[in-house]
Amino acid sequence: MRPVLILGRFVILEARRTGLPTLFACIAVTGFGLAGFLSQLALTESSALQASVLGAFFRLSSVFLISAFVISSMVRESNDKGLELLLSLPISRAQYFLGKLAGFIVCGAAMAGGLALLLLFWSPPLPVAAWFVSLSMELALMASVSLFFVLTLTQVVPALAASTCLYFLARIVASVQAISSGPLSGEESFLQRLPAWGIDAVAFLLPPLERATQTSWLTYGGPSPGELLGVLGSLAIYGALVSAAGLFDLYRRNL
Amino acid sequence: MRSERPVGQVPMWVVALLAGSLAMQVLLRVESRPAAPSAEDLPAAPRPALLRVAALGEPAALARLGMLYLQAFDYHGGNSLPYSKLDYIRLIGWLSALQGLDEKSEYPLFIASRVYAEVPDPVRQRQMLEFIYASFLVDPGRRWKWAAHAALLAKHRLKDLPLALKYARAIDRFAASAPNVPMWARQMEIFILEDMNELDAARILLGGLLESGQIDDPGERLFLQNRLKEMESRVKKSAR
Repeated sequence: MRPVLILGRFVILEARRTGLPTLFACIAVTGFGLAGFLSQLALTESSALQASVLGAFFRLSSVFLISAFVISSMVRESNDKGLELLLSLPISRAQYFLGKLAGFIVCGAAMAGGLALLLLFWSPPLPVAAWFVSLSMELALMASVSLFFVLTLTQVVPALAASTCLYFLARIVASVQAISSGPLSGEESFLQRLPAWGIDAVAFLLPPLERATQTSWLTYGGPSPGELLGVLGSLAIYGALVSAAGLFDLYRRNL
Repeated sequence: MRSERPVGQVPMWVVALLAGSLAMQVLLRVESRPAAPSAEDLPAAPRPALLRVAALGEPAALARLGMLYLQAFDYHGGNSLPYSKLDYIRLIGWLSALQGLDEKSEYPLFIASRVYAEVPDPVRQRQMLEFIYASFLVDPGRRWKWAAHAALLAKHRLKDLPLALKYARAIDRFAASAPNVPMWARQMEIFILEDMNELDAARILLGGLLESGQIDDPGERLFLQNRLKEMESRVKKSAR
């Protein structure tokens, strides 16, 4: 357990020293500017408008930031032969992986916490709390997805592209599934159903991000505890899946 | 290709975690497969300006994706009468907005005339025909065939000859100068008038058309001349 905590601490230290807090501050200041601009334009529901636009902006920015941080940090360590150095110490591959992941998860949670505090200016505390918990989980999930892709693909651009694609696909796949069952040609043959089955098969391997961290929570009240738990549970399962896949790949890697 | 260690090197707990979480993920997703949206789920159409912003400079792509989104409402496996419960005011709002996004696309008018105008509900059919007619008036040269289809639907499905005449007359009036409008489309007015027993008006129009010299094809000219004679004899009979 101790090596995991130490590695996690080093990740947090790295985040502090590589300018992640500065980037976070940039997002916050941009968000405030955007909110001020929108408040000048809105004729009514200005708080709801600001909360919804900022919620969406903060969510996307933080996901991009955490993915970019995970990928660049791991690639830098790989280029510096840090992985080989660490594994020459009495640390198992699982401890290394989990330590790194724990550090990234803490960074994501800190980011989500800061953004949620800002949103308290425009939304009541309970919905913001639900939004914070969900965003923390979403960032943890994206950290594990990015970690998996960077360990597998080993380079910045492919790993970032794969993480981004997975994220956006996960956000839209439910809508694609919903519209995939409506051809207008009457009887549906096997070949006509094939694309819909393909979309279903892809959806089975994607996290249910369309239900997580909804901006509507900030404007119309948070989810019920059952709904929130359902969302968090399904994100946790996907997080476990992608972490297991990352560990599997790391154990098979010949260093 | 990166060299890899054998699978046996992976600890059992990692393999078990991978298999277990994969099974749970798939089971969860199977359980929560979203259903096709129902008629009540159709939201109000966004403003065209908003759609343009959302298109991020790709209005043609968004217009077509929007059509796929729209046609999923009130269509699902167990629905014996697809689209018959939709709010047609909202639907027309969506069709107009998507049409405005890509003026050259024929998708909105195709689905309006071939799908939404064919639901077995005269009120909804009329609403959709009026949408087609309004779209035709915006660009008669390109959209005349949808107005012609609307005239046929009004005549044969709704049995409303005055409405069919309105559409047919509009084709002759607004699309006559367009180069690609065939003669049959411009002659629709004559034959609808004939069906309405407005033989005098039909005769005058047909005679005028023949005299104008616009019909080059000898077979077509002969056919229309015979039709004119037939009309004239019917007019004479009814005068007696």
